[in-house]
Amino acid sequence: MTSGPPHNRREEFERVALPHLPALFNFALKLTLDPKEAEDLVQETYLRAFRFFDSYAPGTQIKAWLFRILRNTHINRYRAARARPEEVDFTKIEAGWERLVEEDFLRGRQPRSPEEEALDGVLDEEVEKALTDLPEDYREVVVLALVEELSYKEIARVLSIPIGTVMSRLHRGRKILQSRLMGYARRKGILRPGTAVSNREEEFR
Amino acid sequence: MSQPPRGAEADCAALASRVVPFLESALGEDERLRLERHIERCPRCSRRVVVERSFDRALRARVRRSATPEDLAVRVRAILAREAPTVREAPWRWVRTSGLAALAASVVLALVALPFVGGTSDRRAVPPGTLRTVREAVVVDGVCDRAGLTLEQQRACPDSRHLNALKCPDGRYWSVLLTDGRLRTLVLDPEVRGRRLVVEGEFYPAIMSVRVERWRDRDAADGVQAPAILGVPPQARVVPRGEDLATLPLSARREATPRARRRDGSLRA
Repeated sequence: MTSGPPHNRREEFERVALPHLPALFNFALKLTLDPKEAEDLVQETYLRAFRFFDSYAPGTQIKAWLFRILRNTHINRYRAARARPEEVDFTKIEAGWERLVEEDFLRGRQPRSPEEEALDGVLDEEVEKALTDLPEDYREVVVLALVEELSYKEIARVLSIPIGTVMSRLHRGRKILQSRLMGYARRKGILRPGTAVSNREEEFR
Repeated sequence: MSQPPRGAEADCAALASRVVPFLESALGEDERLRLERHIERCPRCSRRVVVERSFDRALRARVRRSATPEDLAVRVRAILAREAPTVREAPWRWVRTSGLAALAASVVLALVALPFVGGTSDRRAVPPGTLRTVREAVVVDGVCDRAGLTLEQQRACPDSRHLNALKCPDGRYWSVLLTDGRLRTLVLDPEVRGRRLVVEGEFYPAIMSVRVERWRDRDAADGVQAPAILGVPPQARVVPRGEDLATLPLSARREATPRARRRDGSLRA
């Protein structure tokens, strides 16, 4: 019936922005770690994005643009009130991981095929817990890279940090996950060689 | 090669710190080639790549999005609708400010728009209307009248989904936008079908709808009755024919159907 940019603005916005709701909610949840806060954050994000919709350049990645607004909103809302980001001892983590690789190497174990599930025996909840336990700086990079599969460049824009920082945070975040998750997998594997040991989980809680 | 060549340790370290971009093929050509050559010669790094790649795949497969709350999309859309009800110049923007009519309007607007606009239930902006006075508009059942039923039959129509429309001298049917709770009798009540009105309001041809400003019974135009004014609060009383429709309660018959009860109830809320 009617047409023209101002009339269809909301319609257009909903058409391009709403499909990213699951991604935004997941990201919000990973940032806030609280479903209610995540919902608030998503709603505020959409409102702000709509208000700034004119500044969105059509054709560019709207998902990254929305992530950026969500993340800035989150910082404005929560981070100001929060203490300094948690410190993580990377020398320890790196050393632990190196030891795992080293052990494998020295024992001359057959390398597992890449197709083989590296996280055999690790429960979904353990994966989720390891992710949410990451310090926020790493968590957000890991989510954007591994779950949402954004490019380094896009992540850098979402988080307003240099690409080099994206790569180092992803590297470290991944290392933390590795040391934790492959630690589970390895210990379970050692207890019952070759299979997942679901009935011994309690030992690793 | 008993001793690793000079620079090999540097490559081991480089691979260790750059393994993610290496796996993701995100390295520059030079660096990638150098590390690939190194991996061929260094069993430890070759092992590392296998382990890392395996972990990478497993991790990607296992980290998933959390489920989105079912009603979140609805709430987001509601927020956007509140932010931009339709468009600035849209005629029913101020429906929001009328608490009484808001609920009914959301129901009725869709119903009103639907049959007459060709199937869109979305509240879109319409081009500005024109202010007009129509000297003879007959209140009809928009559906039944098109089907050729008499006014008497229309008054007896039990279908509460049928809304009243104004049949104007141009022969066309104009829907009444329920922009004010006091218009509900005019819009919803089958008893008023057949009444002839003088209507003043903004007519929107694009949606064949009229935002009624003022109206009165045409039959009372020759001074028998005071012109009806929208400011009169609705009262639950029986009003003789010819009196202000704004003061008429919805008819008892209409209230008896569950749908009408709900509709009426939401109006009163």
